[in-house]
Amino acid sequence: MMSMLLKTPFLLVLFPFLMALVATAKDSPEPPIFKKTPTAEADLIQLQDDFLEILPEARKAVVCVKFKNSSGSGVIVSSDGLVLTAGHVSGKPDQKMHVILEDGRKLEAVTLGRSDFADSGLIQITDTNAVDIPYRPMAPSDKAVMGDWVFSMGHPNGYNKARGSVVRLGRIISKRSARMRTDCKIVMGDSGGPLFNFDGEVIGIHSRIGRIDTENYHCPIEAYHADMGALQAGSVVSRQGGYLGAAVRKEAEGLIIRLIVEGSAAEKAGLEIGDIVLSVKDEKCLDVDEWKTRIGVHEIGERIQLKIERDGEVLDFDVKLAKRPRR
Amino acid sequence: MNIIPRLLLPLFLAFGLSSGAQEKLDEDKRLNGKEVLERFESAKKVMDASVVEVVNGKGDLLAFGTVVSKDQVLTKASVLIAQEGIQFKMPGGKTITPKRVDRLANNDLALFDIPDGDLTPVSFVPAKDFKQGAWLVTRSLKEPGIMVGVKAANNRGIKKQRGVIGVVLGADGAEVGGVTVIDVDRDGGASEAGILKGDVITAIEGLVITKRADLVAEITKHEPGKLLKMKISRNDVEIDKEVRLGHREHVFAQFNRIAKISGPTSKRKSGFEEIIQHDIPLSVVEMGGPMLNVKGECIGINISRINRSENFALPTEVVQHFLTTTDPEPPAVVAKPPVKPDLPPSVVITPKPVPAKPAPEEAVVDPMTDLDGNEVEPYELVE
Repeated sequence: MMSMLLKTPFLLVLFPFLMALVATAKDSPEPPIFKKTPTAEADLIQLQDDFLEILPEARKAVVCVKFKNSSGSGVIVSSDGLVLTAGHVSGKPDQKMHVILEDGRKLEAVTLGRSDFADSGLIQITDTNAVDIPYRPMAPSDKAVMGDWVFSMGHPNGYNKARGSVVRLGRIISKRSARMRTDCKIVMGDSGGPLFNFDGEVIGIHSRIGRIDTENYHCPIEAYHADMGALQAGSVVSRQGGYLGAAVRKEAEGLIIRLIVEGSAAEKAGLEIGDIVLSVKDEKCLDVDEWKTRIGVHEIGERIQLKIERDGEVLDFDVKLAKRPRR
Repeated sequence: MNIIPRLLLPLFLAFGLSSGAQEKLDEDKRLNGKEVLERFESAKKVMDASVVEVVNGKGDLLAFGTVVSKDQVLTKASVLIAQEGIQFKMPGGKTITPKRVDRLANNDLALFDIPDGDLTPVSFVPAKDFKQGAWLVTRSLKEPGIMVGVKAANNRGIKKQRGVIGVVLGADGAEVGGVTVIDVDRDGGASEAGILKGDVITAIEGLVITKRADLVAEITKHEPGKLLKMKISRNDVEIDKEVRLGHREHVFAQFNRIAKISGPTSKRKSGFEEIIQHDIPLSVVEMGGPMLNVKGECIGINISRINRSENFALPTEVVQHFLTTTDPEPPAVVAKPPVKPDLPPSVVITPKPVPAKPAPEEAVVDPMTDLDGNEVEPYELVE
């Protein structure tokens, strides 16, 4: 009986599934604690232990950024004093600022470049007294993903020596190339401060408060990697590349065009309000951030392919991006 | 284990996941989401057994109370001022009338005796080794009855703060009709409110003012963060102004923006020997309950909502000092509870929580702001 079974095609069909079974059994190890929703009180304690181990190291690199009458936060990412902060904190390149370290040292610094698109900014410590500067590395691109437990640090409401820097725990709610959302609480003064992973690497920089206080926005580290050359050179990376002129809104049916700017490339190409966006450059476009990013990386004069659905029909558009029309 | 699902699993793996990752994390899986809160089993047990609700005669919730021994409860003192008919809704549902123990309300604590009490107290452990980043659990009015966060910063004492509105005062008296403002600090509440050099302050918080000393005395009564109602006279026209009281040390503009988006905060924010700071999103009536670690041990009592991202708790050491100091002097600032006949224990009053006012922060935070409070375009529309 058995030998007959072996000869039948039945086992041939079953075989790949058996292999996959073995494979999935072997290759599904427990995710690390900072990647999972806790399933028992013991998980909470493990998460806490890991957090308490990395936090004192991460803390050392957090700085308060002081300029004129205002203050924000930042993080030192190299031994020679390169500081990541928010673009709206560093502002104009080549301005003098001060950074206050964890140990109380107040060091002179100068602003480098920023990106208005990503709200990223760089500051360089210039103080000749600066020796043994503590720092934490930038995480590599694409390491942080939705669901990761992370922590935000900064100096809300300005520098307070007795209080020190402030930490809040949370998880990544969503992540796109130019924006990352977490439920870490942040508030005025936290701008420019670091979001850390559980390896103590910088995965983001605080940018904006959200509509509800448990959803806040950070510039992801990927934006710093992408623009590092320009930022270090003191450039201002503008948010305006090639201009399409179509505003989209996420609705039940998907991403819908809800506004066409008069005189824009979108209008000239024949895009219409109500069009459902199926893909941009042959890739699915899930939300507004994707839309902005995919289009925003192109220069004036470049062409992009859009696939849209209108009245049940799928239409292809090849749009040449133009300058922003004058209002 | 049923073999069939396991056989089908590879099929699902092949086809089911190609639709791509989810766009955003389920609310249930977030920091204060259901799935996470459910794991804090030890702490939840303690909360259910050792926390009371403090209500007034009208049934308004004033604070939580922490059971500290089989017949004693601690709560926040300043919320009891001028309140009548204080009662406790106990674990289990019964409502009782407690007896205030006369004690100096140091650190804003108030102690009550529960006659014939047989309660389950919290178990205090030293807070001095409790580290920044460690889990903290508090009582919440929202399901499932707890909220969590971490210890956010270094412990420190908070001295009584003197607030400033940022003006230099000049001539006063009956002829002037108030107190003249001879200079305005650009980085202060008076400037923010539009008070100018030459304005005459004529009233503050409903009090008519003619002397400088009276103005200063009234300002001194309030804590930084308070929005003071003032009247000024300019070219013989009386104008109403709301002036945010600031700190000497803090940059006013930033402090003001945080205050604007914070909603109701505790009136008393200072005069604490030592505090633990945390960011658990509590409302102003959710003070007075215990702060538990992940094991359910008590490391302090929640005492003040400072702003949208900051709350203070008194650590174990401060609480125990209060409990063991049997100072018989009557509390300095708290009115004696009115003499009323005790309600018979069989009368059960269902306390109504204070109806949730729409938080003022809704109006100010919407649309999205950057962290300096500047409005930025919403994320929905893109040009």
